[in-house]
Amino acid sequence: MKSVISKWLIFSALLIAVVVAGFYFHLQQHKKTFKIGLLHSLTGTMAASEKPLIDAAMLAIEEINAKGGVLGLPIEAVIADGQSNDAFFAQQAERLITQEKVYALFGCWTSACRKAVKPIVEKHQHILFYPLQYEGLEQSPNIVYTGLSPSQQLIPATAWALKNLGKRFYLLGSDYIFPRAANMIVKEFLTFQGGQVLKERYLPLGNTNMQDVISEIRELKPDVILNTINGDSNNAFFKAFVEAGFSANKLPVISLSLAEVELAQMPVIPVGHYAAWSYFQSLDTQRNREFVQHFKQRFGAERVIDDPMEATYLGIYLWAQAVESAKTASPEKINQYIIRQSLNAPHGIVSVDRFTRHLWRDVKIAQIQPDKQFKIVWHSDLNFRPEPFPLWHSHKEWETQLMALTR
Amino acid sequence: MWKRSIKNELLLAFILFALIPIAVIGQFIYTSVYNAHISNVLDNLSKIADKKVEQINIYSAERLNDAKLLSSSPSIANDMEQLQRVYYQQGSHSKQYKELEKNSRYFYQNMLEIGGYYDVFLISAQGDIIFTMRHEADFGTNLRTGVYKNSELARIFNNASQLLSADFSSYRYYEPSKEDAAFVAAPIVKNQRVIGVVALQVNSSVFQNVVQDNMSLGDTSETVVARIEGQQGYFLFPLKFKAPQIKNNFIDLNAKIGLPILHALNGENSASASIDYRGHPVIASWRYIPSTQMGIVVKVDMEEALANFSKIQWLQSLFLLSIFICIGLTGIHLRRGLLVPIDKLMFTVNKIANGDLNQRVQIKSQNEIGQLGLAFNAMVDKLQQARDTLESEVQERTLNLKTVNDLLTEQILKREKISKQLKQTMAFQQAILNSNNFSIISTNIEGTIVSFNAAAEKMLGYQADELVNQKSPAIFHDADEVAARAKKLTQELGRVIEPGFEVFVAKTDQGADENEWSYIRKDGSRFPVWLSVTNILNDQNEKIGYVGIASDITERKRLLDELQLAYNAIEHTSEGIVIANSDGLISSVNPAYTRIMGYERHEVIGKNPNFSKSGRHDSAFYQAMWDKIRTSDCWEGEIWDRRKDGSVFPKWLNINAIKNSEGKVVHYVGIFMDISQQKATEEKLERLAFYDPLTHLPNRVLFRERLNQELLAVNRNKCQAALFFIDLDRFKWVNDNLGHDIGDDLLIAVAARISAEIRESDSACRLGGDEFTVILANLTQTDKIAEIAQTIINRLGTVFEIKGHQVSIGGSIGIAVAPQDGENFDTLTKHADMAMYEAKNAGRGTYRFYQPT
Repeated sequence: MKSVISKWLIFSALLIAVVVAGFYFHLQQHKKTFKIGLLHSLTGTMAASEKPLIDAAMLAIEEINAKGGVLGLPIEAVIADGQSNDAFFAQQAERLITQEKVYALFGCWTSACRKAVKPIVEKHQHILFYPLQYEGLEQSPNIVYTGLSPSQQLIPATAWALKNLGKRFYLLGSDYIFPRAANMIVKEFLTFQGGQVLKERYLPLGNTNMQDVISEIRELKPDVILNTINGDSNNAFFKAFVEAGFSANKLPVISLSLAEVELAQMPVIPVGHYAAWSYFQSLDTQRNREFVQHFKQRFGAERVIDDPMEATYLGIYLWAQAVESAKTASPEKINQYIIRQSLNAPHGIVSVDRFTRHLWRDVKIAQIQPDKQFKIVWHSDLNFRPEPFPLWHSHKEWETQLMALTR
Repeated sequence: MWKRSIKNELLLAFILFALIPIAVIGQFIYTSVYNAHISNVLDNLSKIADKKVEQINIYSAERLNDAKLLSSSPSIANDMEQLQRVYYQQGSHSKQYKELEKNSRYFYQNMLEIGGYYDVFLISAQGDIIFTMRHEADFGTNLRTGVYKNSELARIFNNASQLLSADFSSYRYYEPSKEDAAFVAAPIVKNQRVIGVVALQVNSSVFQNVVQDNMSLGDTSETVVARIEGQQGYFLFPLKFKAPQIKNNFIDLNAKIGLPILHALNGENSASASIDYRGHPVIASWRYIPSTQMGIVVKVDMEEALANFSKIQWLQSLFLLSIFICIGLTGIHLRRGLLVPIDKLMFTVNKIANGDLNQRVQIKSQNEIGQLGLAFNAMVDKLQQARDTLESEVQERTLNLKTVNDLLTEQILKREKISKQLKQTMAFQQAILNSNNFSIISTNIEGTIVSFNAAAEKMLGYQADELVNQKSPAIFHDADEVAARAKKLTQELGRVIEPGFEVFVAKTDQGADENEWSYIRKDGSRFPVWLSVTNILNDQNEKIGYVGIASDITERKRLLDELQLAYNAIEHTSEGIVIANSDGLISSVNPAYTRIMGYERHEVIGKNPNFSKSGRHDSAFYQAMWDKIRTSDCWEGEIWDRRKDGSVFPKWLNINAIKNSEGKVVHYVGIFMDISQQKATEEKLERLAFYDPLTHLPNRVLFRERLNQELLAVNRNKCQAALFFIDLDRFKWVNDNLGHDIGDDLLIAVAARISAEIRESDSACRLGGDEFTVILANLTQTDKIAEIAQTIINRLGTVFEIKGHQVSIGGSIGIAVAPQDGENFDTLTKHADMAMYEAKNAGRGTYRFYQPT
């Protein structure tokens, strides 16, 4: 009798334990993940610039997952290769949304690429986080622009140069939409502010023949060069520029598309020249030191971080925060919740502007150092309101001008 | 140490299945409800915070739009140019400026009132404030170089003029207005030149209303707005609660990590349970407002937020507690009803086991344990009772023995004295009374039984004490019998005799009255007695009582009955019975004898039984019969006898010699049955076995017997015998076409015709169907054979007249003659058969002798 009761007790307890364990494992098995698409060029001419953005995104994803993910589920990255081809980017965006059923897209580098993907995300009422500083003049209900807008980089940098480096500007850029649109704005701005544009010069992408440019600069003798060259051409330009004997003291170059990643690959270091970004790896704050340390631990001590990478990184965090507060990851809902987000990013506080879907950001002007890092020489006190459309023209007017430019 | 007992098992079960689950479920429910409640409060707070941020955003965006609109109107550019020209050429105190200002003032006053602004500024590109509505201390100062160059107004002026942006400033103390203020500014552009900036000062009360509308969140709810001021946080509006660490609305940014407002100022955007600036537990939601670089916290005290929850929590605790109490009570009830009784039972049982039989289990319930206790008590009762009885018996015995001993001693002395006197008197009486076979019952004159002897006791089964002093007729008399006797005596004596004691004594004065009576034993069985009642007279010859002496006549009556039965059996049996005396002369016969033999009883008494002999048996037969009787006292066998009418018949007779106890034969009893019917049946059976039932001719079996006999005779007597095989022609046709009845009748007729042609000593046989044979026996000469055969053929060829049908058949005969044609049965029949086929082949209606080939 006694032993029967005892056995029965043990049996019951075991049974309950087995049922509970079974139920727990059942729940575990049915756990899903939040898929997000990382859409960048892993091959082609843009690969060198874009690959690090994938790393930055992965760092954010891994950090978030290590803290328990979002809404208790891990984030899963689906990486797609845009192959440096705008049309293919659009195709991949379509695939990620309709087939992979990702909850958000993080991607694109060039404005051309963004403009190719934009109709896809808008068609699906989806959401794209675009991490690059760009020419502005755009606003989409389905894109979050985490990079710098013209009011935060182009105009403050030009104003700073005008005030500190001289009035006579030589505008040098690669021959595609961003440099041309940026220079269109800069030209008007300089006019308002009493500056002078000596010449606009555009080099084909990948061009390395700098002889004409050097001789033109030598001839025009500008006070400052506003550089919007993208990619490998920067290497050639600065090499030729330095070799031609121009020093930063006499003719400073302020670059809008040159950051630590590009600098690291340069054969000749253009010491003393300037760049304008929100984020620099050398930023000496607790938050940034941790960020840099994490990144190097994860991807190697030789690796560097730049503003577009940080913009990608903080974009993932903004999205995760929006999912947490919306309690869902549906892109439709996240498009509503993303405009309420702000956070303390490695470069400082960022907030999504509810009207423009761009970030409130600050801007810093920094000088290139021999160690291929930047030294900050000036920074805005506060975050600048994002103004994708400089307010001296109406949106309509800007769009018309931009159309004329691309035609 | 864990001891395995029911108590411990129950305790373990209670903990496992009640305590732990309730604790776990309780904790689970509590946590779930708590989390749900907190998350609900957090959601509400977050919605409110979002709403406020949205309101501020929209408010600032509207102000910004006002500034943008104002700056882009052509009239303001004209105003700006004219005012600048007059301001710089004539000064702000000039008549021309005052005039211009007056015109402008009218326009901007509307603007102030509609937009809810505090002031309007027109600032030249160089930074000089050349126009305000209020003319505060800032008027006329330069925002780039003047005293207010670090004000928010100066900052947004610079942004507007240098970056061509429109901006909303953060909300700070503005010295000229002596209060907190925010500004919105936009550049005025004309002819691709920035000619100045227009700025609007926002009315602080409007902004404050937006921020501090608490929307009835609760008594302790508060919305706190702060911005960073150097290394400190600055609360923009007075706080609801006092806190020692807050001085002049400033809070050290490094003071308390984790304060919601510090999170908000750090750009974070979240909600959770937290601690507020007082150090008080709160639930808070915080946001960073980029447009004004402020942090906003919407919070409510934890106590208030949990007020509703406390009620739920209290109810839940009550619920869990009541479940726990219920289970606990069940446990206690179980303990009371099960464990305590078991313990008590164990305790008592142990005591009993140790020998204390006075212990009893206390029964408190009728359940199984109660039953067990009862059973235990009953067992102990029995034990104790047994022990007590034993003890008292021993005691009583001892006492008794002593008393008896004393009495005995006394009595012995008395006895010895009396006994001598009594001995002689008793001797005679005792002799009578001791009679074993007579019940002697004496009564007094009234009929009361005085004595009842041993034989009476034995006979009736009553003890003497049971009946002495009883009034007779006592219970061992049949009341009906007494009543019947009373009736009879009344008639006989001519006076009324009551059915009572008088019945027995009515006639005793004439001497002993003897009658048959029934006595009834104590066990209810009856038996007949022969009762003799006589008067008892005293020495004065006076009647002092009666004595009834009864003898059991059961056996006598039984013998009489048996005799009657035997007599009846003999009288009514169907078998004839003859009883002869030792001399063999008939002394008695029964009615069956008369019926079978026809003689009356008086005709045969005194005769020798052989008077009716049939004469079929010789004297030797009778001699053997009597020899058998003498040696074994009985004989049995079939014997033929003759009836009175002279007919002879067979009977089965059984004779027994009856001897007396000395072994001398006293009677012979003959019992017989008429078996003539039986004999007839036997003959019929024999006929069926050997004769053809249709034609009554010998069948195949008898044919074989007869032929074999004949062949033996042939061999023995050296004579001859002939065998005919006769086959009928066309018999089959008759049978098939005229029917079996005609066929059968034809066969009978054929048999008759064949039989008629042969001698008595010859045999005609039918072997079956239309196969007939004839055996001609004991022939000394063979010349007659052919003649007989031809005669038979002729007879068979003659037309038969059967049931109106003229039937014409014929016959063929095969002949074999023994011994020349065969000396044994098989050979002879085979040859006769072969000869018959010869005859048939020769054209029917003829005969053939067997011809050896």
